[in-house]
Amino acid sequence: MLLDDLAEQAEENEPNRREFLAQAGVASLGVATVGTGTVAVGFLSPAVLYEPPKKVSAGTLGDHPEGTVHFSPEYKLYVIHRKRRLYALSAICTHLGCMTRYQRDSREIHCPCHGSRFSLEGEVLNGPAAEPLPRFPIALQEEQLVIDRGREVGPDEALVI
Amino acid sequence: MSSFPKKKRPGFAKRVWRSIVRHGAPNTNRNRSLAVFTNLFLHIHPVKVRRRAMRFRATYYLGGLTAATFFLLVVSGAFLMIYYRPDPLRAYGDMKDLQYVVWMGRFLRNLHRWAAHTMVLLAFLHLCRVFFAAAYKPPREFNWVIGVVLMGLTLLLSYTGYLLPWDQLAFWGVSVGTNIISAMPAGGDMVKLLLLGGTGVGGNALIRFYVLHCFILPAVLTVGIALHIWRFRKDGGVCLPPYEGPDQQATTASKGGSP
Ligand code: HEM
Ligand code: FES
Repeated sequence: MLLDDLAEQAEENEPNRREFLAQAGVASLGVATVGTGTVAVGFLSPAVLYEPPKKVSAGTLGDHPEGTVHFSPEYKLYVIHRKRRLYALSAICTHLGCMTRYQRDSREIHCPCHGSRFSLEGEVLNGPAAEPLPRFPIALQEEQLVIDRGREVGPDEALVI
Repeated sequence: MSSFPKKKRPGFAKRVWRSIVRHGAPNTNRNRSLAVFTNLFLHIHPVKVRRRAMRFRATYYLGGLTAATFFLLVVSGAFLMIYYRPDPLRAYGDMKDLQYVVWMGRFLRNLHRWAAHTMVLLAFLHLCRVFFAAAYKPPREFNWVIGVVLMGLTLLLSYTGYLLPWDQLAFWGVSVGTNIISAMPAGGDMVKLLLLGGTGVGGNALIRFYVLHCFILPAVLTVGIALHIWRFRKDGGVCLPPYEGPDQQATTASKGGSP
């Protein structure tokens, strides 16, 4: 008799409490997982980047006489003065991001990684790259040439000199 | 007190030995199985192993050899860590020191590199062997999934190790690789940023790859290998084709199966 009573009581109360505790357990596990994920992503995201700024100076007009191609490995771009037009091209290959090189003898830009070739205007001459080299706006500010690597301009834009 | 004759207390050395090894000499069947059951490393073996499963031709020992190569990589990698510093100003020079200055440095570096290539090859051949033996079928299907994950981890270890020499090949190899990642449709750029700690390969990327290579990936791989071997046991050991000969003992013994 006594044993049966106890058993009944347990049946009535236990499942609810158990369910509650199980759900609370799962919920706190979920909270902990989300928290850990948030902390991990936040921690891994660099708060400060010690990388060159987007807007960079390229010296004065006198530094770029007609017919020159200047390569800046730090800013990863070319400053080209050609046919009385001055413009800046990204030096990063549009295929998978290797650094290209200007070839003086063929007057082309070549990528060492998978052999893409670009013209001095940035057009693709040979794949695997599919896109032309991006062109950055270049402006004269108090005698200084300023290139904005954060923006892209059309293929014909240049400082006409 | 009991009336039994008092047994002489064993000597100190004997007691120390007994505290470590609990069973007697493995010269009875009982002691032989105790030797296996009570040893963490030996108890990897199933309770019962078929002779046919022990033959070289059954597995070509590929899984075991992959695990052995991993062990070699852990040991040689730990030695390399003594001299290698993951800093853009130092990494390449440390590699050169390992090659030309540190006694046995070149041997250890080459060992690590050859073992890395060998591990990738062995893991791949192991996967092929399992595939051709149709051992991916139930009840082993989940262990096949674990195996594919282990193969992926092995490739990731090769890839993260590849950046560490900090030479031109390493730098552009990882530049190209992370640009492939960023081509992923959802969150590709995010993964690239978190992996490199910047917009391009630099000092942050070097230390991240170092931590992945020397701690996180080996730790995950170790747990994965343990799980893989444990499930291999539970799923019934080597998957053998149905036996068709007249008498297994006789045929395997005559073909020189090892005990
Ligand atoms: C706990 C395990 C490991 C540790 C502590 C470790 C540590 C290291 C260290 C310090 C280096 C830099 C030195 C060097 O480049 O020679 C390195 C390089 C490397 N590791 Fe590991 N490693 C481990 C496992 C592995 C595994 C499992 C693989 C591949 C399956 C692997 C593949 C490589 C490769 C390909 C390199 C570049 C080797 C070279 O250029 O000479 N490592 N590892
Ligand atoms: S990265 Fe330039 S051709 Fe592939």
